[in-house]
Amino acid sequence: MDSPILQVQSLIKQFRQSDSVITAVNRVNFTVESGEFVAIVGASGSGKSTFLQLCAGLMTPNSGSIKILGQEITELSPDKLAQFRGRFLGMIFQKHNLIPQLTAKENIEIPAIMMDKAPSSYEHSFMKLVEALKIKDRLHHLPSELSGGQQQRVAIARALMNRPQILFADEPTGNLDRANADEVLSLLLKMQKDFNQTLIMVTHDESIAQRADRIFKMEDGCLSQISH
Amino acid sequence: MEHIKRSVQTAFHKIKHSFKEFLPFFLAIFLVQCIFFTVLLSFQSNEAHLKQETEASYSYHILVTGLYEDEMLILKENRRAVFLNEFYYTPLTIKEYTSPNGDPSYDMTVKLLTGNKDYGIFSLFRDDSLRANYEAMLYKYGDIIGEASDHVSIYLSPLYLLEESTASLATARNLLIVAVFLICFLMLFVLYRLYVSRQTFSFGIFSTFGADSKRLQENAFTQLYLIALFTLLPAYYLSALICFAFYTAGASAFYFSWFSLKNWLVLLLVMAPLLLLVVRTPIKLLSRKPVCELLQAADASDLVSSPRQSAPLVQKGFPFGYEALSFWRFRKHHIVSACVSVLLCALLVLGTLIGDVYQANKDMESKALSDFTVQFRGINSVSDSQYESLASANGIKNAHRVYPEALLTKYHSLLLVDDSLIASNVGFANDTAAGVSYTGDARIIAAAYDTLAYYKSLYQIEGNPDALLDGPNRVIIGSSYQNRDTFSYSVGDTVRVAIPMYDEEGELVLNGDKLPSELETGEGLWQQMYERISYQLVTLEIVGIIEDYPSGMNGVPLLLSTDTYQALTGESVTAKTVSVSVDTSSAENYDLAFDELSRICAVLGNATVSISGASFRAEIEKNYCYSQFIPTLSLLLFLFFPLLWVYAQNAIAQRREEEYKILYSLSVPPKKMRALCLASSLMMLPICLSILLATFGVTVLVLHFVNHVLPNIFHISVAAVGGIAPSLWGYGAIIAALLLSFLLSFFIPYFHYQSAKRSFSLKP
Repeated sequence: MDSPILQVQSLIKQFRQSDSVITAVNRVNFTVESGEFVAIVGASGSGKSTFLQLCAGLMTPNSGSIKILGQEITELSPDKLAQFRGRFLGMIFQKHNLIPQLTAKENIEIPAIMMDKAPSSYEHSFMKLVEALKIKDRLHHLPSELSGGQQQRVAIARALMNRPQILFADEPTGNLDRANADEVLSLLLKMQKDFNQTLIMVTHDESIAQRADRIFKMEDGCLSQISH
Repeated sequence: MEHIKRSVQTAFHKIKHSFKEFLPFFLAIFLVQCIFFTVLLSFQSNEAHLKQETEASYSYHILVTGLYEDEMLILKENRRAVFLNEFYYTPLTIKEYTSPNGDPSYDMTVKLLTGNKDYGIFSLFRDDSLRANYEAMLYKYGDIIGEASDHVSIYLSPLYLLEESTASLATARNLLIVAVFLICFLMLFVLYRLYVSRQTFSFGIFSTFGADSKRLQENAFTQLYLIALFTLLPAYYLSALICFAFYTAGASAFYFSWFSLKNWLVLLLVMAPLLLLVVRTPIKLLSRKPVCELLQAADASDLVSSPRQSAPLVQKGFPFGYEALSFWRFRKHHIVSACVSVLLCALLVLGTLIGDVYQANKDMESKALSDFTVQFRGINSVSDSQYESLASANGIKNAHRVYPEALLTKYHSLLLVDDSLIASNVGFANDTAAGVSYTGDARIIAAAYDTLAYYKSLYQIEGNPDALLDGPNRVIIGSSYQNRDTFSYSVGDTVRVAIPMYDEEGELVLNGDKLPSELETGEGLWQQMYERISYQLVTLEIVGIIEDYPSGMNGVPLLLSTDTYQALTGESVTAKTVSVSVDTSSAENYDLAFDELSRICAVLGNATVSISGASFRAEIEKNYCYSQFIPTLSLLLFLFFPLLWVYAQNAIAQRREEEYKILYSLSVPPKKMRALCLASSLMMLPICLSILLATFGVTVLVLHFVNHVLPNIFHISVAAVGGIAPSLWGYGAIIAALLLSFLLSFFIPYFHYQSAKRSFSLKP
C-alpha cells in the first residue's frame, strides 16, 4: 500500500490571549490517502480552519508532525515551505482572498508566475480551466466587478492553476447562496476527479460533507472521524 | 532572459495598475536620483572647471628659477640624456635677469613628457608617467635643481598637480556619495517598510501560492528599479537646473552635458544595490511570518501594537480619549516618523551651518592669501629698503615681512585680563607622558609697520592701532575667543602677561611647595599655575582691539612691536621672508607680479621667489560653490520629510477608513468626526514640537563642536560661527514643514473620513 499523502501526528496549536491559553488544535492525528475527498465539519470556533491552515503550511504548530508526500513540512524554512506550497498545494479561502488591484486573469496566474512558469507552458491548461469554471468572459474584470460566485470560481481557478496534488478548501461555498454553492462544489469535485487530486475541505454544511469520501468532526480542537 | 523579461512585464503591469500606490516611490526615487545627480554634476562641473582653468593658465609643469647660465644650458639642451627614453621633459620658455654684479640669472619653464609606453594598455587605468618623469629628472639633474642647489628653486605648477587635485575632488565626491547613499537608503527603507505594512495581504497571497522571499524581493526590486528607469532622465535634467541655479547664485560657471550616458549608467549602477538593500530586509522579515498572519493583517501590521484596551467610544472619552488610544496604537509608527524627521531637520540645519562655516573660512583665507614668498639668503633680517623694493612691485596687493610668532603658554606664560581673573579660558592643557605640556590659545605676533598694515588690511581694528609702534608695552588684542565675544576691554585698558621666572638651572621658580603631583585640568590648571609659579608681570596697554579676528583659528592675537616682543619672549625678531599677495582685480597681475618679483630678486642678488599658487587655487575653489552646494544638498534631503510624513499619515488614515465607515454607520455626528480629526492633529503637536526642540539641540551641539571641540581637542581651525543666524532659513523650512504636517494631520484623516462616507459600504 502507498504511503498516505498527508499524515498528521499529535498536532497541537495554541493561541495566547491576554493571560489565558486557547488550544485550537489538540493532539490531532489525521491521515489522508491520495485522491481522497475528506470533509471536516464542526461548529464555529472549533478549530477546523486553524487545522486546515496548519496542514496547508500557512501557520506553524506548537508541536506535532505534518507530513505531506513524505516531506515533514514543519521542518522546512519559510522559503522552502513557500516553494513546497507552490509546487504541491492549492488553497481556497472562504473570503476568496483575491488581490483587488489585479484582474481575474492576473489573480489566476499568480501561482504560475510565482513558480516561474512561462506563459506558453500554461496557456492551454489555463484556458481549459477557465472554460470549465465558466469565467472565460470575466477574465479582464477586477474582483470588485465580479459576483460572489464568480469571485469564488476565480479563487478555485487560482488554486488549481499549478495542478496541486492536495487542494485545501476552507468553506469554499460559505459566502454563496445554495444554487451558487452547489454549482461551485460540483465544479470543484469535477476538477478533483479530472486532475486526480486530494481534496480536504472544511465546511459547516452537512449536505456538502455528505459528498465526501470520509467526514471528520472537529470539536474543541479534537478531530474524530464520523463517517466512511 | 525570458525570466527577466517576464519579471519586467509583471512589474510594469503592477506599477501601471497601481500607480497611486507607487506614486510616493516615484517621488522618493526621483528625489534620490536628483540628490545623486546633483552631487555628480556638481563635482563634474568642478573637475571640468579645474581642468579648463588649469590648462588655460598653465602650459608648463615645472618652473625652475634662479639658474646660472651653464645650468640653464644643461637643462635646455637635455645634455645628460643619452638614449631616447631619457628625454623626460621639454623646455618651454627661458627668462633672463641680470644681477647687480652683471651675471645673468635664468627662469625656465619645463613641460614634462606624458604617456608611458611601457605600461601599454594599463596606462589607460593608471598613468603616473608625469610623476615618474619628474622624479627621473630630479635624479638626473639633482645637482642643479635638487636640494644641493642653494640658489635654484622649483615650483610645481597646478598643471603638474592637476591629477592630484582631480583625485582629491573624486575622493570628496565618493565620500559624499557614500554618505548620501546611507541617508537615502534609510529614507527609502522607512518608506518601503510602510509600503510593505500596507501590502501584507498581497504578499500573503503570493506566499500562499509559492513565492519565497527571494521571489518577493525580486518582484519588489524590479518594480522599484523600473520606477528608477522612468525617473532617471527627469531627475537628471532637474538636477542640472538645480546646479545651474546655485552655480549662478554663486556667480560661477556650470559645465554640463545634455547627453551623458556615463552619468546615467553610473546612477543606474548606484541605484541597483541601493534598491536591493531597501527591499531586502522588510521582505525578509515579512516572509518569516506565518502566511495566515499576513492574510489576516487588517491593521498597520508590525508598526502597530494593540493597546488591548477598548476605546471609550460612547462615553465622554469620545472623540479625544478614543483618538488618544488610536495614537497609542500607532505609537511605534509615530516614533519612527519622529526619529526620521529629527534626522532630516538636523541634516538641514547642519547643511546650512557647514555652508556658513565653509564660506566664513574661505572669506577669511582669501583675505590672507600669500601668492609668492621671497626668501632671502645670507642676511640677518630683511631691511626696510629691501622690503620696500619688493612691496612697490607692480600687480601686488600687499607684502609684509614674516616675523616670528610665539604661543603665550609655550613659556608657561599667562594672559591676565585683570588682577583677580586669569584669562583661564584662554588656553588648555594637555597631559602627556612626559609631564605637562601647554598649548597656548594666545598668539604673540611681532609687528613692524608692514605687518601692522597687513593686519589692518585684513581685520577691523578699533582704537589707534598705529600707536602700537610709538612706544613700548603696547598691544593690539583680539576681543573674542573661540568664536565668541569673550573680552570686554576698551582701548586704554591694560592686560598683563604673566611670565614665569626661571632659576639659574633653568627650572621654574615656585611659590613655596613643589607643584602637586595631581594637576588640575582646564580652568583649574591655570589657577593652579598662577598660585604656584612665580611670575613676572608685564603690563601692556591696549591701543587697538581686533573685533573680527576668527579666534577659532589661532587663539587670541597679541600684536606687539618688535621691541616689546623681544623683551617679552627673549627671542630676537628677524624676518628672512617676505610674503606677497597679488592684486586679483586683473588676471594679468599674477604674471606681472611674478616677473617683477623675479627681476627684483635678480637685482637684489640674494633672494629667490617661490610661488604658492594660492590665488589661483582660491579662484578655482570659489567656483566650486560649496557654500551653496552643501545647503542645497541638505535641502534636497530634507524634502523627504514632507514626503514621508504625508505618506505615513495617509497610510494610517487609509488603515482607519473601515473604522471611519463604522463610526459613520453608528451615526457619529460630523462635528464629532471633525473633533476626532482635530484631536488627531493636536496629538501630533508634541511630536512637531519635539522635532523642533531636537533640531535646536542639534544646532547647539554643532556650534559647540565647531567652536570648542574642533579647536580645543582636534586642533582644527575654523572661522567664526556666531549662532543660529546662518541656519535661520533652514529653521524657516522646518517650521513650515512642521506646520504643514500639523495641518495635514487634520486634513488627511478628514479626507479619508469623507472618502469613507462617500463610498459607504461595510465590507463583509
